[in-house]
Amino acid sequence: MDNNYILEIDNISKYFPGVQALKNVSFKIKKNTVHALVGENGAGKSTLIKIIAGVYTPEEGEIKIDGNIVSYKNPADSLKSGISTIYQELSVVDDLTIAQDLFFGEESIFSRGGFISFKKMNNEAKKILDNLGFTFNVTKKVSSLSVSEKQQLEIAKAVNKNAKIILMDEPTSALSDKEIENLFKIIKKLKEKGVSIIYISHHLDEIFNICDYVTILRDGMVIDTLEVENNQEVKDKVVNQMIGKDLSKIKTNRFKKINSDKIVLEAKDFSTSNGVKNVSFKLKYGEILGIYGTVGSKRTELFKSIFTGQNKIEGQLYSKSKLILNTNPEKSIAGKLGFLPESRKEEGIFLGLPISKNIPFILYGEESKLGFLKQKKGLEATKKYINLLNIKTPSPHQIVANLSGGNQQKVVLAKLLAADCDILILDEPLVGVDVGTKNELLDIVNDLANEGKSIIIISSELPELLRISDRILIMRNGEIIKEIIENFDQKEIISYAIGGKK
Amino acid sequence: MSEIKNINTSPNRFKIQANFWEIYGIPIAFTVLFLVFSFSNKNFFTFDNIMNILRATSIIAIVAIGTTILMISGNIDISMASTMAVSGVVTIGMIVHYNINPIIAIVCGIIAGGIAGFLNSLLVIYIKIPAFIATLATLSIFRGLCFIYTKGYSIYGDQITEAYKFIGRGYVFKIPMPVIIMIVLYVIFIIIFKYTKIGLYTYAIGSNERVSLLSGVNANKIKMLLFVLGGVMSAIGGIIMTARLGSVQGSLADGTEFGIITAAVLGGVSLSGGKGVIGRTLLGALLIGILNNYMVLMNISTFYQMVTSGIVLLFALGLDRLKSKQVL
Ligand SMILES: Nc1ncnc2c1ncn2[C@@H]1O[C@H](COP(=O)(O)OP(=O)(O)OP(=O)(O)O)[C@@H](O)[C@H]1O
Ligand SMILES: [Mg+2]
Repeated sequence: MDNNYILEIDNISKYFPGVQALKNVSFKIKKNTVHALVGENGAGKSTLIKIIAGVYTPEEGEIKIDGNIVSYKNPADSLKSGISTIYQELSVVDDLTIAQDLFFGEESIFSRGGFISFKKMNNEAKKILDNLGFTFNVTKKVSSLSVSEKQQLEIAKAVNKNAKIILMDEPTSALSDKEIENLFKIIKKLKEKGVSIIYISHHLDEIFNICDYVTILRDGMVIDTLEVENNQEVKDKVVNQMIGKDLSKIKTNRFKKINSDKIVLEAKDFSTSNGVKNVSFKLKYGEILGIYGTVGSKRTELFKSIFTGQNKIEGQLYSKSKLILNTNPEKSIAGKLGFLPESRKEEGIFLGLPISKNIPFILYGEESKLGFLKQKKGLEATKKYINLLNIKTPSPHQIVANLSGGNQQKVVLAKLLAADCDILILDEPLVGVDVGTKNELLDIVNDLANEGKSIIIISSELPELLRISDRILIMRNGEIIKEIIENFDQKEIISYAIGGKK
Repeated sequence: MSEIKNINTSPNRFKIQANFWEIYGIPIAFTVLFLVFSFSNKNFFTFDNIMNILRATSIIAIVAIGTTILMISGNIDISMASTMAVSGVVTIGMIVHYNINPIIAIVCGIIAGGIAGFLNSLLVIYIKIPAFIATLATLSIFRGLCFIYTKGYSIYGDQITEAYKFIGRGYVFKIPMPVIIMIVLYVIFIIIFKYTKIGLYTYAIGSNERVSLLSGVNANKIKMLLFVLGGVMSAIGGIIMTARLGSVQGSLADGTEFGIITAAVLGGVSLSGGKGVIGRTLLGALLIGILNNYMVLMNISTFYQMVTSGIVLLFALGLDRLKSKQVL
């Protein structure tokens, strides 16, 4: 039987305690296409990917590949039949080297008489990664990689499996423009080789750039499947179908709104052992300071060191013109400086605890009398932020591990916002958050600044950064190389960041 | 079609089952055993026997509080029986050999337990020895010190007054004193762990220590406190035991680790941390209590009791495995 479709999803339903994650989902994927899957946080995208990959079994429905019904019991089954997956939660193994991780489960190719030739493995890994446009030192431990590098390794791993279908669940969430471009090149090459791809992202521009079809999910149901055409009408339609209404208009540019001279945070010649070199900057009262830079610009390293006091080797730090000597997270938070870490799962959230313990966590630390928690206030804050950030959950007491990836991100954000910090450092706050909530979030940040909070936002999403910041600092190779105070051209900023402009 | 459906739903059922047993497994097991024992032996469900069970369980249940809070934080202390002996020897030693006022001696015994916990915490936090290994070493050291001091003999004498023995043997309104102490301690710890920062932070550290650090928690301070509290609970248990015996030996409480850890695990404490409820540890201890009591009533030899205890621990650990089975 000749079949136009490589993958058919037929009437799939999946239920979790308290949540109908997917309801009678059906759509088909044509051979040799890139098929986008979009929807709000918690719409059911990852659940569907995991069903195709054999992680979950659906209560109802069938998956057909090349017209044949398949029923995978575990991810190894799907891999064997030519489906490789980039999961939203990275699945690289920290204790391995990059080469070992790349060939994890396939070591036997390099084995001779029972011993693995690591030299051969390393050479091969280097060749493969170079080919894909990644520059890694393959003998380094995975644990030493940044989130963005781990994501690139994950991409390389999935691509290297010679699969005929690749499932990509938010593969660009930690990447900046340069790496995204590289991924697009890889995707184009894969398409030439006849591979079909399911592509999930909250960035519509990516979808209109690289995808052929788009299926829109809302509340676990398929709303529509469209052919992608790059015009505004289709874009508006997709957004509208995704969130069930038109996107709320965002407030205008903030640029240079701040005229205060009051400095709340200042770094002088700040250097760290992990690559930050002589950085100096000032943050004003009520200001939103944007930080832009590509992967490797050491943005995270700089601000993490300011918050944790770790890795600092030189320089002075002043908060409200008081010199800070030895700091640690406890002291920073006591001084009302809050930090949203980039790697949420490892650093931002208690996956095993309920939402109602996560969101008010810092608040409880600040406000409890005689050690007794103000549980009423905590629950109020929890409910407030579930509403405000549109966190999709059956109950405020749901365990965070059971939330969708984007909703987990929102809980981390809420945890920091619920704490009454005067200075907020937000490292990639927009990652993984759906379009509707993104605007909500920018509005919240804007309001906080208007109330007199001072905010530093690190983000790879330049349009959003330009919209929300009073001022932008561009970092490259551990240095601040440019301060932008006028409304600059996006292209120009990028060229500073990647080193085209000095 | 229907066949495929059948195969497909089964893993999900299993998950719901795991969740169900996690919550209701021990209460159901306890109720069933309790009913079976009551009906099969007329001496089981009598006021005196119930008080017997409670008294026999109380010491294990008290020490298990310390084990539970440590395990919630992702740590463990297996030196607790040795710590019980240290406190018992210190207290009775002071009373008998130095004629010190029993109240002061008890306070010193409790402090000794706290110091033992503190030493454990230093090994775990600053020298970074895994808690299991560190406390395995101190288990041996503490026990050895007790034998060195007692030279292998019992310490007893007239200085151990009836008032002191009352702690272990007395009754208030027909309720044994150790049971009253146990209930008071459980109430205090249930409140602390439900309503205060210490409780929240203990769960947080067990769930993810790095996240708790970055959220402003001084994790080392909390862990130290938990080890000290663990030592203090052991001390209280040890002192009650000496009061019950009216004497102390170097081998005091030797082997009780087993029942204590079983109680905590039965109570739902996960070996990987972040989970557990103190009140349920009491239920775990009582479950062991009724089992042992019933076997005594039925004249089953202690050898069989040991086999049964081992099976119960395996059963509890099996439940723990079911619980920690996480989907991707
Ligand atoms: N293991 C689980 N237990 C309970 N509920 C779950 C579980 N996994 C997912 N859910 C629920 O199923 C729904 C769909 O989740 P899913 O992860 O598929 O969303 P998503 O579309 O990928 O969202 P995101 O954009 O945030 O990644 C959510 O409401 C989520 O809370
Ligand atoms: Mg997802």
